[in-house]
Amino acid sequence: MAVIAREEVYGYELSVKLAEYGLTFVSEGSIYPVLLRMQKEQLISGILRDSPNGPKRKYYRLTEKGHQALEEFKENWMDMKKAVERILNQGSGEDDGRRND
Amino acid sequence: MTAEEMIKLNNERRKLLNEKNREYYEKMLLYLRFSPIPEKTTEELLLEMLDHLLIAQQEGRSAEDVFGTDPEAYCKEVVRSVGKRSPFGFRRYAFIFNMGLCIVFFMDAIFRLAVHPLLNRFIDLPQPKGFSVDYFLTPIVMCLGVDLLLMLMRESTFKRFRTRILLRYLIPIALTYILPIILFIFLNKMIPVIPIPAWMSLLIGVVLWGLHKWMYKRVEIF
Repeated sequence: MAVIAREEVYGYELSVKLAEYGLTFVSEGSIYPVLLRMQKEQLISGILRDSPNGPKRKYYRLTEKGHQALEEFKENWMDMKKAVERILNQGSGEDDGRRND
Repeated sequence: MTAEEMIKLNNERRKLLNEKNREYYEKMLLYLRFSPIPEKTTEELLLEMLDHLLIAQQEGRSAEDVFGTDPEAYCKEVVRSVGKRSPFGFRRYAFIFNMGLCIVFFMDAIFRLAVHPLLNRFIDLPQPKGFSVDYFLTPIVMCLGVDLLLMLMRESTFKRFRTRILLRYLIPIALTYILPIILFIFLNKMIPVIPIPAWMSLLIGVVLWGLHKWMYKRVEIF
């Protein structure tokens, strides 16, 4: 959703961008069921239009509901990230303490 | 862009696939078109997948690299994601029933106006008194059989016709189609007849055909 929020993309373009961001474990074809589910939940909308150098393509953009869901996800993610970091840092702090003893 | 336009575009662009990729893609195409999901969504998705596959092909990757080694599981996942259309829609069955009615009224008219007089020259056949009520079984059977038939077609896309699949679907389909014939054979003399002339059957058939064409623009069957 964050990729789509930045700019309108079509299916193939999205898979390339995900790979560029390092999500190489996501298989190319698996994006379509996810896109369909997000459309069903009205988080994104797709429009079929001419592409600059090729045939008509379906371009996706985030809906208002999608923007809200993305913001919520970001907040949850940051909270979880902080919590996990605290746990890991505390663990390594205890390890360091034990080693110093 | 309408679904028909998308199908036309798909037919043209599909020719650009190599043999192996085309075989893989066309199986997915058949499975998805036989699935109970909205036609426009299906065609949009098929165009997207084709576009993706064509670019991957140019870059030296195969359909298996893009969609995985199990296309059937992939298609099932796609159908789950779209959400199945309810198979019990009134409009859908009204459409199929109307189409069946239209066919039987035409068949009755053709039989009484052309086939019966022709056969009567060679063999002495009893004169039909009107529209036989058992004809109404055909549209009912069509409504019952259409989903079974679609399911069989979908299942056979990725699998070879094996005895297990045949037994699973052939018996219910055979029962759906053979049962009315058996009933007709045994209950022939008891079946009532609607006393309408042949030209009236033809006229009803034409009216139903007009209704069918009008409905076709508004109802999604497959």
